[in-house]
Amino acid sequence: MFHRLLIVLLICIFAGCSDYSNTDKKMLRIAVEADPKSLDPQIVSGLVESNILQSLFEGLVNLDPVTLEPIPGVAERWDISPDRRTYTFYLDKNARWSDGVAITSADFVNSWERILNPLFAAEYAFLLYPIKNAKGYNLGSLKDFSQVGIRIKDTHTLEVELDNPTPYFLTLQVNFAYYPVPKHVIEKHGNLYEQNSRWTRTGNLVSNGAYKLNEWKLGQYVSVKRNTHFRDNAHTSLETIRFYPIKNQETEERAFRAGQIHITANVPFTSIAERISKKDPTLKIDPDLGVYYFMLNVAKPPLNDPRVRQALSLALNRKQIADAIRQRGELPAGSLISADVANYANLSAPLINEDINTARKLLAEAGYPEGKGFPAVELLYNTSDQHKQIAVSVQAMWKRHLNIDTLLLNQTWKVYLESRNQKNYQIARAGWFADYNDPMTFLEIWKSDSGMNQSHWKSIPFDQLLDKAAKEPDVAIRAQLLRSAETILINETPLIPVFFYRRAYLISPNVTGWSSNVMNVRPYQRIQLINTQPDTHPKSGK
Amino acid sequence: MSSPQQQALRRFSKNRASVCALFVLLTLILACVIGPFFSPYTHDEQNLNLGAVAPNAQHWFGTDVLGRDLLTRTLHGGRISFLVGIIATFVSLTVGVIYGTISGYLGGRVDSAMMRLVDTIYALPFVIFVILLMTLFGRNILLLFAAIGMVEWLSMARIVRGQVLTLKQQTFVQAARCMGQSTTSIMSRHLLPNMLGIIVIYATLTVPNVMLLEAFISFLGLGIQAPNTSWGDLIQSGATTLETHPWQLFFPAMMFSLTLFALNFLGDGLRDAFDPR
Repeated sequence: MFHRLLIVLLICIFAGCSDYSNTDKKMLRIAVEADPKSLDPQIVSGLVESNILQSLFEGLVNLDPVTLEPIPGVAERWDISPDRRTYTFYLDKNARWSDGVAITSADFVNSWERILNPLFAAEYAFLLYPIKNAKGYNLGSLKDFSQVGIRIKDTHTLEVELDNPTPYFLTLQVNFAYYPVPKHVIEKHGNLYEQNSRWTRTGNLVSNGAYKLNEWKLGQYVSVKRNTHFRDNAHTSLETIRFYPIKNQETEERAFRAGQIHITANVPFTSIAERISKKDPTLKIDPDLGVYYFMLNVAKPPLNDPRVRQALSLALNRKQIADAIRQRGELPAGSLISADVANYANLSAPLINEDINTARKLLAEAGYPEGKGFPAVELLYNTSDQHKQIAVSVQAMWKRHLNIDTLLLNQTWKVYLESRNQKNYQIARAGWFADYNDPMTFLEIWKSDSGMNQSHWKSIPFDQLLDKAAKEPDVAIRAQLLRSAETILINETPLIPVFFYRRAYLISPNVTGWSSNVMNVRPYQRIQLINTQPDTHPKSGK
Repeated sequence: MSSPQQQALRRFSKNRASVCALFVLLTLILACVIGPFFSPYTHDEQNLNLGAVAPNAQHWFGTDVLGRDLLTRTLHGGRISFLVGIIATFVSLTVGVIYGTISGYLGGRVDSAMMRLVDTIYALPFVIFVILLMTLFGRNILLLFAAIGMVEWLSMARIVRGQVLTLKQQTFVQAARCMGQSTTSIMSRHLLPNMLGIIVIYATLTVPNVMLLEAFISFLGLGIQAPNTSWGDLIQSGATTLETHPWQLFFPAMMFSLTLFALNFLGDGLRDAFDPR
């Protein structure tokens, strides 16, 4: 009896393992960093959710995964008024929800009303603020939604009016905040404005992308399968995609080596240099729109003196940090805005470089010649070996060049975020990734009224430049205005940029049709799995 | 005739493993104390252009990702680890012996009350206790010593109390009491010398315990403040690069294991020497 029980138990265990080692050529297996917080596109805010939701939902406009040019999504075409403030979208009449119900312009009005509704309290509602009166409605100062610039012209024509000419408005449509959600389904499962509604559960979720939710097993995987009602279903090649949440990068790497996943989310930083030197064909390093920086709390002495802040910034050898520690060919950041961003002409030359002599002079002017009398400052980072190495090297550079002491403090992610929100830090490591492909996404978080500005730094000329840039229809002049704002920011130094992020991950040679871009727009529909290579990838050289 | 102490010493010197352990231990301590002075590098000197290199003629133990010489860092880390071991053991010894002697000798209600306090502190989860101290008072190496000492004296107090309970029934203690010696002088003149053996043995076994605790706290990232380092801290960062730069784990781990082995052999030898059965 006992033996039989044991066998059943063993079978269960091995059956559990076989979840990973499925060799189905129609199933793509992708690792994500964690379980998604939700599959409701209007609630989420992270990269994990974005990667999954891109397979499930589709906005009015898509971006070509290679060129990032706008291509038809739910809207088959669109007109833009000469003043660039009114967009008319003509919806594809074949567009359907995965339950077969047709998508109309009312779906977009209802969806955008939901995310902007103050009752719903969506974290990413601010992405819709370019739409006329959307901010007022979201903040509660405007009660009448009909005054918000979203209008139904007919069942398949939608007109959107903007406050300002916004050169990135079309690219915003690929963000999950702009995705339509099926009101007719949500209301079946509860209140439209309820955040924890059951409509996103397995079996309930209805979406409009190339895939629909098949199964969501918490801690195991999210599985999506072909949506036969999708307007462009003929071009979908994969039957199923599974997203496996794997938190540990080493575990993920091992799963990849064993052929259990096709695309990883990360590569352990310890193995990057070795993979590069051995020309590992599975390693991919893509440019990204993100910057690694140190945020300075300008309310806390001695950082209240801009000369001290500049001295700290000038004393860093950014290239050394990027080359020696990050080891993936990232560019040192002499400014905040990456060169890969759109609508910024060629304005991304460094605004600050290593200059030890000036740094020493500024520190002396601030009253600390040779670092004498300088109180030790505290550098906060979220617990991670890579952040620690960077912090230790920065500590050494400041000690060597400026003769000042830095205390390192690490906190776990949630505690660290809390310290930042409470502005309870002196210097904090931070990273910022673009929400949309435009310099504005890097700059607007430093406005005086921005919740993301946790530095106590405020500048009226900076705010004015951003407001002026927002109203400027000419892209070149707008870029100049934004560059002036960036210059103010770097000169006043509430932040010390260090390097521009690049994304490193592993991808199996059996995956074709994959393309990467700075916006992380994923070409799920174009991916095919071929069977030319074994699925396992032993470490090269062994 | 020779005194019991001399007999013990003779027995100890015949135990080859223990003498060997003592020799290794002294060598390690000496290396950690004076080694860094002879190194051409310092423990926090970075060479980012060099990066992580395997052991070679310039860097006998190799370097870490920031290009710091691992030999110098290992020796420097050894200082901290030994310091923690010695200071925390001293704290636990002092507090534990005094507490245990008083509790055992006075007995009765005082004994019960004092031992219940020990039980209560024992029940506190150590890691949470340390994290609490760190958040309240900030990160401080002295606090780390104190925290470890605070935990380690408990077992010492229990052991000493047990010894005192048996000793105080013996005739020489009763004789001393009859002759009107004061409680404190009975404790220091009669009880303490008779427990010396067991205290020394337990102390040598406490040192590796304490060093392990320090390593554990550093492994959690709560220990020593960078760029300072300890063996626990070195092992922690070495463990993350095990697959690519194994020497970063190997050397600190080797030194640490050697020390722990040596201390345990030493403790065993001392026990056999003082307590022949």
